[in-house]
Amino acid sequence: MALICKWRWPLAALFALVMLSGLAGGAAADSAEIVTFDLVIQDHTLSGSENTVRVHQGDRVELRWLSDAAAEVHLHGYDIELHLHAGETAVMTFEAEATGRFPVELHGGHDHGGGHGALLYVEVHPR
Amino acid sequence: MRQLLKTAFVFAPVALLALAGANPAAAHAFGVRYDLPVPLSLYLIGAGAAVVLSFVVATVFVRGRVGAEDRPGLNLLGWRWARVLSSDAVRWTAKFASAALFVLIIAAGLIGDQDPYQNLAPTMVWIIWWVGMAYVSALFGNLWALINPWNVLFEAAERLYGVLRPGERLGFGLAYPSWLGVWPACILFLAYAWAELVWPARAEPSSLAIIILAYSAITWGGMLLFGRTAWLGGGEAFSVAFGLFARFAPLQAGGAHRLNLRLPATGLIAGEPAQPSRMIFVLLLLSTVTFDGFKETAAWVAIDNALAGVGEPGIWPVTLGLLVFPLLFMLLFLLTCRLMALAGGSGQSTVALAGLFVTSLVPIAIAYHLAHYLSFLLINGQLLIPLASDPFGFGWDLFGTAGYKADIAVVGAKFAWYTALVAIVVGHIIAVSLAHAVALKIHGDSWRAMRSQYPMLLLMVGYTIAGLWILSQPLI
Repeated sequence: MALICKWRWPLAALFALVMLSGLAGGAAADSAEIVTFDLVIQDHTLSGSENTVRVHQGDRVELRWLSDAAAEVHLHGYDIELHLHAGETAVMTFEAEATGRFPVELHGGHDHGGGHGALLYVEVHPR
Repeated sequence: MRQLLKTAFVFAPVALLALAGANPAAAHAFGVRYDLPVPLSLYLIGAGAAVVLSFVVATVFVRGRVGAEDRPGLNLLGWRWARVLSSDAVRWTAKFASAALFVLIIAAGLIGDQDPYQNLAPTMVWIIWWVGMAYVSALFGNLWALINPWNVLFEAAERLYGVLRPGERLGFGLAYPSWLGVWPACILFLAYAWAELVWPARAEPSSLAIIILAYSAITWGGMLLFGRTAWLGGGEAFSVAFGLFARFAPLQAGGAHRLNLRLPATGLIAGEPAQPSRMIFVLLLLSTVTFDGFKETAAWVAIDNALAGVGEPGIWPVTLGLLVFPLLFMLLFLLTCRLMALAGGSGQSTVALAGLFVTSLVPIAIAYHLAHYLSFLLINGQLLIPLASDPFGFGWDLFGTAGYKADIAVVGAKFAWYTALVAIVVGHIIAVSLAHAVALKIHGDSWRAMRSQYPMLLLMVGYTIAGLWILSQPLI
């Protein structure tokens, strides 16, 4: 008993931590849905200011691409390649099962790094 | 001779610099990371836990004495399975396999397909060996000391020489000068870190094979001059690095007849102060691992942009960062030790304290390494499965696995977040405990040890929170 008294405050702090992490982990889950993004490529870059799309795990994702020139887009990780013809909309569809942050690259060059040169990031967040 | 050596050590990294090719910069040594940043709530919990648990640890240490004694550990060789695992046959097989793999990696780099993903060399070097061997060293034991191919091949050459010329020893047999310490390893490690983080051609198989050969020449040259063991101790950067990580490990080889099982991290409690060069090496190891994470944050991009006018983008700013970060770490660390010297009143000099306490930071670096790279290793490490069947990218399918595609869902974001959080918080507690154990050894009296520890505690809380902050930043 004396031991418990001595450790009262550290134990209380630990308990509070455990409770907090429980709260953080147990975020409410909402159901999967189909999410669509319209993406326009002009001059080898994505038009618009946002270069990240955010979806949730389990979502069915549709990326609708429209490019002003023929190009090859590659979604890393999910490893989906799509050939784009100038002025024609093409659709990339996948079930977002794996969480993470996946770069989409415009191919043709030699850069396999997937880092700074990404056209777009697809963020799949856990539910 | 002395002058010649100094020139050689200054020249080596310059030679590596000159080898730099002209490939567009990638975000990492090799491979793509898919991690989502740690959410703010988890970051705050981790930071809070670091602060709170530091006080818990401090309380324990002030009331009692935990783990400051040197226990010999449990000799695992008392068990039969352990004797089998560490038998000569197993050891020689491991050494032979490692040397064969070393030759295969260089051959693949030189003659294989030059697409980094179709060639064994980049995956094997940057992912499996560098990330994987660091984990094995820290979590199990110093496997590198056994299978180091530079050591194995030189040892084989020594034996061969002994057979060809009985009674003579390979090499010049110079005495390794004590002033050299681990300075050669420091310089070579910094050059290696530069290759890992900055060198534009790092993922090109043939360039990689060429720097491996260059490093081999330096290593075997050093061994010829000073002997194998001396060079492994002071010049072979990876033996020094993995050896340092392995001081954290629970297993420790003690001669031919002992394999000690000890409490993890207790090997990091320094008996006597580390030499200045070794202290610098520890700080280099910590700061380069941390800088690797930092250079993917928005804060770094801002610095990078501010430096945009300076030389080639992506090369000079990162090179500068790679040099400034260790200096910053050193300044902060020496300042902390200075404050500790003032607070403790033990009469120890700042440099002596620095030498005694520097290894207690290693657990945080290991934790950060786990937090930053574990999911990367688990996902990108799978590249080895197809490459095992087709190491040269020639279209072979030796084991029927050439068509394997990495399972990117093998670990998820939540796994990555919680391992990062747990690793960093646990690493922090261990580091704080180690520092307290060292302080107790110096002061004897718990209250004085406690008082002398406030600056170190502050530094460690700061380092831990900085590490977590990096992980919580959106990747660039």
